[in-house]
Amino acid sequence: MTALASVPRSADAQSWVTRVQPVAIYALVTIIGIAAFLYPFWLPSSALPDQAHSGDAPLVAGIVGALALTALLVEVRRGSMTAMTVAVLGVLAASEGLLRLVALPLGNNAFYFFVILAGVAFGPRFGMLLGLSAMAVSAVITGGIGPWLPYQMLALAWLGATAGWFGRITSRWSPRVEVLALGAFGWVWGFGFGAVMNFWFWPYQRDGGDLSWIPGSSLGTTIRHYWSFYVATSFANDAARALPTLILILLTGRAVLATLRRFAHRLDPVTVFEPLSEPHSPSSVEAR
Amino acid sequence: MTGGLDYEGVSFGYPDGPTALADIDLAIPPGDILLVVGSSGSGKSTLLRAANGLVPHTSGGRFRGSVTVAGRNTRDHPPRELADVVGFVHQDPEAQFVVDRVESDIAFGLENLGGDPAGMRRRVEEVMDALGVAHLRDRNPTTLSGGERQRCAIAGALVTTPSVLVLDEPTSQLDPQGAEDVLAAVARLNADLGTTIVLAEHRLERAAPIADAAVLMVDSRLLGAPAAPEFVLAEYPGAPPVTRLGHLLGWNPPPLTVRDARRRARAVDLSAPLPPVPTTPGDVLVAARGLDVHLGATPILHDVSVDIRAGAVIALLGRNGAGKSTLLRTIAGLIPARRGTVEGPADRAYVPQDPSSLLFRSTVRDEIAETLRLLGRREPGAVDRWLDTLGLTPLADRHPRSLSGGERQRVAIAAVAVGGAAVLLLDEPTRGMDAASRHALERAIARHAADGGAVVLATHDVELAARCAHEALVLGDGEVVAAGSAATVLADSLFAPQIAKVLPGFLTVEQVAATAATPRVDR
Repeated sequence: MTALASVPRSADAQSWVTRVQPVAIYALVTIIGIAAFLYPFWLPSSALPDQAHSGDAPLVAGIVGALALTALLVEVRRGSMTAMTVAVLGVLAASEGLLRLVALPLGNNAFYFFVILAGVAFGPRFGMLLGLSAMAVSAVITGGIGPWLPYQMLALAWLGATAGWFGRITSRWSPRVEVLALGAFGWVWGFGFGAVMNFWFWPYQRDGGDLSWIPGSSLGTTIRHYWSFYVATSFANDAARALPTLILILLTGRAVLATLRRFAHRLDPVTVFEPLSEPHSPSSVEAR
Repeated sequence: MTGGLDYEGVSFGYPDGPTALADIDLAIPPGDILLVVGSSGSGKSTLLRAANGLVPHTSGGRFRGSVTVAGRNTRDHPPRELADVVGFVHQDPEAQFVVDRVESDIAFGLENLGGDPAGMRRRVEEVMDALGVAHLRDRNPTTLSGGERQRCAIAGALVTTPSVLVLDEPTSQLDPQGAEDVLAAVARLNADLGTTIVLAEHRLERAAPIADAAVLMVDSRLLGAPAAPEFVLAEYPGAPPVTRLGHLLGWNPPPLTVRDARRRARAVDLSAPLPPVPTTPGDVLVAARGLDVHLGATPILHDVSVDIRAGAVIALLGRNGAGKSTLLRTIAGLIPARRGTVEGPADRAYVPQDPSSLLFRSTVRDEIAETLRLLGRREPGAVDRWLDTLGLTPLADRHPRSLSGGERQRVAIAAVAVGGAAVLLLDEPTRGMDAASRHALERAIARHAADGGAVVLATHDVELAARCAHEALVLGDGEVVAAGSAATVLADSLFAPQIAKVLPGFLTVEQVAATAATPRVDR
């Protein structure tokens, strides 16, 4: 049972249009996000700014932020999220902000495992919103605001959303197997997060070397260059993110998931009205 | 039928849970005060939550039948569409504030319904006057006393002029003065505005006299139709002591108030109560001498001494802020004393007022076993023994945080007591407890004392003190104002137990029964 598998709460929420709308917004966030990451590949070298995304980052942040808020409003309006869900989202985002301050031996990486576990417990849509808001909140707390922020928000949102999908599969497994699977998921995403994040600046580095992108080169060359770049610059950092995430999920996964799922269960009430025994009881007539 | 509340053939079960309401038929006429009584878990809260659609819209679950309030069926109207006709006040006054200023918090409900500012202003003033909280308007709710907070919460629920006000155990967390204030305000509201009031309560000494009718819930069902409280409560174990006394002595109808009972008692001729069995004082387990305690710069206790002996149950009485909790915490070693000493060979264990702060495991059984694990002890059977002693066996596999307040309190006590400390320090242990829980606790306290331990209870519940304490210590403004045997201290007080006010010399119904001089009852 995922948390936000939306349960229609009243007759007008049942048409497919109202069901698809929040999903459409999340899809739009993802499409805009991918575009924001990739469009610099098509920028002519003469138009490159000194600092990656120095001009467009506020715009991307504004659009992503506005869409996230819209998604939240639509969810609440449709009844697929309640005030309680929003409250939990806020509390978890704030907790994430504090977790970002926790210094582990390999860096401040106590941050990613919790988005994964929350995504698994509450589902992909919640995971996406949590990724967006957690990164924004923690950036304010740690002073990490800059042109990279909207890209970090997007990457963490995708991490949360994929965790939500993955959780739909793992929730059918035994807790022990599930935690192992989620640990592996977190380990892989530890590298994946870095691999995605590099793209916010990599297309801007066009010095012609083997580690940078050369405009006009083939896809194969691009991938080879990126791989060299990744191994040379980002691999060690990402390993330092992947390992703590793996360890934290293995250590705390069962207890944290049990607690979060308890809340998820309570936030997602399934109500069944059995038909009135007398078809036209006076009270039901009165009510209309 | 506008101001009333009607349940027709309502049955309900929580998701993955057993039936919580079964075949409820209940019509509450407009302007009545209905008292719902029953033990914890009997379905009272669920019944109340169905009044504004929290059940089933927010809880989920299977719902049959219909609830109609002010002409609206809760099947078709979720709680937000009933907010203008049903005011709902939760058990826990701490949990229902959203704004950090009393006046703004009271206005919150109206603001959300989109009232016009001038009308809102007037309405907020009126409800503050009706509940007597106008002088608190600029305070932060967290700084108020329990009774003040509960009255502010009721004001917040009333501001939308609901025709029905639902109160889930509004006084169970309060001290006697707070409870008195809240219920007086409720009665006045009903008299002035004609608001229909549905009230669930465990502590019936004050609630029963203001109710027009009462109904008893047992195992998700209503036991009969609503009737006058004195008849419904006559055989109920949680009834006020005077009502149980009246039942014992065959008074018909049984009284609900001390005043009624006193009139009836004039005709009663009882032999003197049996003298209390003299107890040989045990060894001193813990001795506190000349304690002066400050919290920050504020002096809390001044020159307090107490001997805790083996086999003793000591009741610590006194108004809020008199220093009861501070004394317990000092004895437990949690607060350093500025002067004076706490010495003795025995281990001390303290159970704080808010049991939630102690609970973190996912089942009741694990919670209790955790204490032994942390102490590095293996005592097979100890967990089951405490589960049994406090009547928790049926709850062993539940999640501690889904229990009611009284049940949580018992889990916390078991989790602390299982550690084996000889001296148990219990802070307000009967908060939110139903009659059965109270009896289980009293038995556990008596057993612990009989086994050579000692118990110190900080409590407002004089009936509890009368039933299980041997000694009593009254604190006033941080000093000991009375100390001695429980019988002497309690009987000699303005806040004596009900029975002592009716039949001087007796403290409890059990004592009256034990003298066996019940002239009006045929045996």
